[in-house]
Amino acid sequence: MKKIYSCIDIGCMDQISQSIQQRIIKLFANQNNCKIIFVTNEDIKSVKTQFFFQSKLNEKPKVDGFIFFSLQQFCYDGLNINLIKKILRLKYDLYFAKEELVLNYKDNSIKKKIEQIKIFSYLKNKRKQ
Amino acid sequence: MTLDNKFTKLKKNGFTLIHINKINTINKIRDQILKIIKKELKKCNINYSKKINDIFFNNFHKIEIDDAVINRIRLNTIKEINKNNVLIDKLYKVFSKEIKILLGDDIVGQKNVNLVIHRPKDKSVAPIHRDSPPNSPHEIVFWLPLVDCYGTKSMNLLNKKFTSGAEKILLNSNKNYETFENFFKRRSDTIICDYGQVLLFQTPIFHYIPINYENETRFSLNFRFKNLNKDYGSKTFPEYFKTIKISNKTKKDINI
Repeated sequence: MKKIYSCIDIGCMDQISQSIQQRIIKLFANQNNCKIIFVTNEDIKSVKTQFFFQSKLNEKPKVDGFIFFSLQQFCYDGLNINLIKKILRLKYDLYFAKEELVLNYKDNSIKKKIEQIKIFSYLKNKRKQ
Repeated sequence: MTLDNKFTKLKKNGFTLIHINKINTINKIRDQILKIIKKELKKCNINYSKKINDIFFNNFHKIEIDDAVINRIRLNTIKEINKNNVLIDKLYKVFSKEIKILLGDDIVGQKNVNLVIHRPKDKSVAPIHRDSPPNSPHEIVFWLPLVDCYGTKSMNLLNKKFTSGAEKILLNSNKNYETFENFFKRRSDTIICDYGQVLLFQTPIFHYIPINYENETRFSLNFRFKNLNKDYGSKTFPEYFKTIKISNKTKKDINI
């Protein structure tokens, strides 16, 4: 079983509560044979910078990956594709529970999946406009 | 009727019936489903007469299975046919010409194609409904029967004009579901859709899959396509839809 850290989306708590997010995250982790060993989240003021997550990442924890509630967590200040690439470069897997998306750093289809993330961000921006 | 006429009908009425040109692909998909269902039956230790083999889908109700098991078989089959979400790509190739005319060059498709099985007198049918709202009104639904569908084995739709009439009944607190149902029964069209044809309809029109009182089982697939750039409803990207085709212009805009 893989060990992972989880990170809920603090920016959408008024629509999807913490407990529901945790339930969805846990379900998706189970489906992917992952065990959540640590739970974290950003401060409401750091949803764009992801300071808390980045500090955890810099510790290079001995886990197989990270599970987020949604792709949106990387899109609060435009798409932070560099952070996604950094996570994969550090050989961590990435899971997005809401979108049921898995980015395995060894996966051959990673380019295709990054494209999907870019499209997601593009559609979000279009909606904002 | 030409394809142009069919699409004029779709725009005017909200639905149209189309003949499938690339039937070989659909035959292969149907064979794959048949294989999976037989495997599932075997897993459940359910025996069936080899006699029904040729007309397996139509005669499916002759196999004695309880409802819960049928549902399990259906869900496992859906899971199997949608492995890696490639079935929708195959279906896109079958209908690419029609989809391009209707929806343009940037296309998303439903990741998981639905399979519906209705044995005669099976009461597990949804009430009269429309998909939009809450779905996007820009989705086109493809209803693809795997058997010849007629009478109560087929489906009923209200055209756009009568859908507006039905909406008025829903808003009227002096009316009730029965009034709505009677209006639907009087005004809806029953579609005769043979295997080899596909019914296309827009999500805002009311439709109903009736209880099947024919002596054959209804097997059908349903799936949706929409333009990538048009508004999404409750079914979003990438949870529900996946990209099927993106134009060079949009690729440039997204930087992919």
